[in-house]
Amino acid sequence: MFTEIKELTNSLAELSKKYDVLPERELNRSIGSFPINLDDLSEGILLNKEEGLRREAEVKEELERKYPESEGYEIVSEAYLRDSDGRIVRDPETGTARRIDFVVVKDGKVIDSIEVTSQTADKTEQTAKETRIRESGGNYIRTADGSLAEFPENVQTRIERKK
Amino acid sequence: MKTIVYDKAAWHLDAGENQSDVLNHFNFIMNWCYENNLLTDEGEEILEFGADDSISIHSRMLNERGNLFMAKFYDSFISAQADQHQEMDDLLKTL
Repeated sequence: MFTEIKELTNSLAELSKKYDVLPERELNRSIGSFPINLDDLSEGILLNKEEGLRREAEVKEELERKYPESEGYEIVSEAYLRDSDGRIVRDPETGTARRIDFVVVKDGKVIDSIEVTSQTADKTEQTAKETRIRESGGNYIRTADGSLAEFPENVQTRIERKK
Repeated sequence: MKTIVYDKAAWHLDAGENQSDVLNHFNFIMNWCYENNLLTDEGEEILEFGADDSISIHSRMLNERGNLFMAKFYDSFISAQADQHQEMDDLLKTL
């Protein structure tokens, strides 16, 4: 989609050079033959966001019911895996980081970790990456007050699939 | 404090978008935010690390002006690349 937007934008820019002196109506007619519309493409990207937000809102609501703040749970969103000094740990294989959508913390320990995705997205690589980062010392996340919470060995990020 | 998420690379990658285009967009947005002093320490930490498939743009990474810009204008620049910086600069001046 991004590629298509870029290509179409470039094509329109090139085309517009030839029509600088034409009235707007004629320019519009000349670009009317394009098979796709720029607005439709942007809407596609926005739809990705809309669906991502909706899925995560659903999961967050479920987590807030399951882990109420009044019972001492903290739900941390957008949490990077860090080492014991608080530094983000890179995957030794890809050099990239691992950010988790929601991590639930109680008494300084991680008790649940959730990645939200669609019904079909392949998360094999993300799961393998997390294993490598955990093995490299990335067993902490930073909570809202800036302290580190430890991931016990038995807690692995689960993939929550939503329509 | 509630974290507001403006965008995530994963939302687009999971939907089958081209990885290089998605990451170029996030790199551009992060660098533009840095150049315009819109990042917090957390934002600068992520910028230093570099945009990868884990990146998201959220409220903890941005200062007040940065959050204001994202809340008001980000959706119009959701696929923006470097050639749109002038338009973003102009809108930022209105805040």
